[in-house]
Amino acid sequence: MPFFYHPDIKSQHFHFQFFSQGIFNIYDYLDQNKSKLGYKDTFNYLPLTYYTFGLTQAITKPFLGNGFDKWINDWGETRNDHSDIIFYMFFLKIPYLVLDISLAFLLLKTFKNSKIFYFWLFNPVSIYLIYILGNFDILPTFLTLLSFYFLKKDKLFLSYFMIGIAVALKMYPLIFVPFIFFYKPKDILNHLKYCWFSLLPLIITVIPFVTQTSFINSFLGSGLTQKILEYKLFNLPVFPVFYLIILASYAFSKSKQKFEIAVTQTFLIFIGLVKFHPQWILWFFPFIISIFVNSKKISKLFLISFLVLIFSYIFLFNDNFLFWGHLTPISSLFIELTSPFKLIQLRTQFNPVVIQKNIHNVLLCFGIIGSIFYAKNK
Amino acid sequence: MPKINKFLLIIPAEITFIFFLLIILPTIFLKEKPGIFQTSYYHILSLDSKNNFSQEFIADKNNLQSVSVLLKNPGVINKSQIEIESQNQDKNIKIELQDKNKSVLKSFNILGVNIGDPSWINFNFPCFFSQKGDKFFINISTDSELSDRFFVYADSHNSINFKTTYVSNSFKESFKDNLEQQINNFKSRNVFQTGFYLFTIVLVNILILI
Repeated sequence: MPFFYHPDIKSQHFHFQFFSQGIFNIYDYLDQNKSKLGYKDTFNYLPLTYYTFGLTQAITKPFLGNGFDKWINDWGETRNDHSDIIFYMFFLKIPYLVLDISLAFLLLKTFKNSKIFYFWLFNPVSIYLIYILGNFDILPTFLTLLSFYFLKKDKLFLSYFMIGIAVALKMYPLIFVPFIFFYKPKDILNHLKYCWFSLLPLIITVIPFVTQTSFINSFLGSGLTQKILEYKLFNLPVFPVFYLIILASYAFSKSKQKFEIAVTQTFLIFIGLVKFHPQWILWFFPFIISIFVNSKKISKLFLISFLVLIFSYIFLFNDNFLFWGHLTPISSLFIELTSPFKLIQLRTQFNPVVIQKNIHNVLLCFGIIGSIFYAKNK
Repeated sequence: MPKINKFLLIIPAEITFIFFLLIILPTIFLKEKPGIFQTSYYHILSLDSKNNFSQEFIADKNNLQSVSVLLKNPGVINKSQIEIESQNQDKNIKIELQDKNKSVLKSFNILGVNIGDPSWINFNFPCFFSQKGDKFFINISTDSELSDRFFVYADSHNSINFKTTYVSNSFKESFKDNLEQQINNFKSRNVFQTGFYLFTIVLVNILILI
């Protein structure tokens, strides 16, 4: 984990540092001090994310040494070049390591299958998503799985409350709330009693900021909602339509694995229809793994091919920090190497943007086929 | 078949992975090797027609491949077009690499439009035969008469910021260079940092495998 880097971890920790300086309204602070700050971008996450990771950074800061502050505020030419970057990457990712291992144990407790436990820990996809990209999505992912664990145990309050905290950290777990709601359609009245807790943490943490323009502008820049609605057919956003079909078939399904299957179906469609950020794959991954481990060879082969295509799509971004740049802590010269995007441009007559678009179209076809296949199983 | 201890499987696998990542991967893909890396932000010195800079350095490896200097163009004010051929263009910066007898080996011109606030200006040239211990000079000059146009960063002894790279001629040499560099990096690291890393790795292995 210390040998890999992505600039997102630095930009996020640049914002988190203000918590230990006593700044509680990060949105206003950034808006008012934009001209003075080395990094000009807004903080595009929710307040609970800022408080959680701001506090984590404040606790770990004494161990990071004096150079950390200098590095985190250096946005010049030497921004990705620091002799202690290996140590920072290691130390800043320790919370992710704790969450990763906790998630593995939670998978073991939820699915009672040691194969899933080892598969989660040692498969290259989760290693890439957690330690190479180094994004904090592992925390809401852990809470989403915890919510599912409580759902299986019929502890509805805890289930909705856990997903509620996850939603207050990042909005995406809202996708999973309807699946929790319709898990046992017979219990719908009971669910109606508790489902409000899935929004309560979000409402409590957002209320103080909701009238502020700085917060609204920053949060609207995050892009998930726009991306979900972007792909349209006859002026109708396609992803919500597919999502509703999956949800309807889920509500009437009697399969024991219906939750995991529905999440996998949503993932397959989501990837094909949304211009996704690589770290978003992590949201669905614990549930995909449970399907993968218990599935037949053909289904395994399908999911592997799908993931290979996803990675081909990611590596074709015109951003070397999604390829060689990850190895900057080993040597800063890696960033100078030719990215796959540039390599295709230089050595072939093909346009990498077109290749990437075609891969996305293939992913969409695969996603629809896979989703139908899993619907039959459900 | 006797059951193999999980530790006997995982520990060699981890060591092999780290060895591959730190030594083999750079050996295969990085033809250039980092050399001197001198950075300090102690002084910001104005670079103008009256204030030129000369920096001496001694190559710490064979086969010099590139030299980079850290220059600052505040607010990237100068937007003039680049004209590599023209050495006398206004607001040009000229950088020369000289050998120990002060004869010019390489010369480059750059305009402000290509200089950030700040940015490493990298001069790559076809590798020429040079040996570890050879003395070189980097001369930076400009014909800009304005004193607030360009700046160089320097340490308390007014040694300017620069870095060098070298090229390895063979896989064997590249492998040796990488190994040396990683050992040096390891030695230069804080004992607490290394100890904490090793402790965590051992702890994680025990936690997962037991």
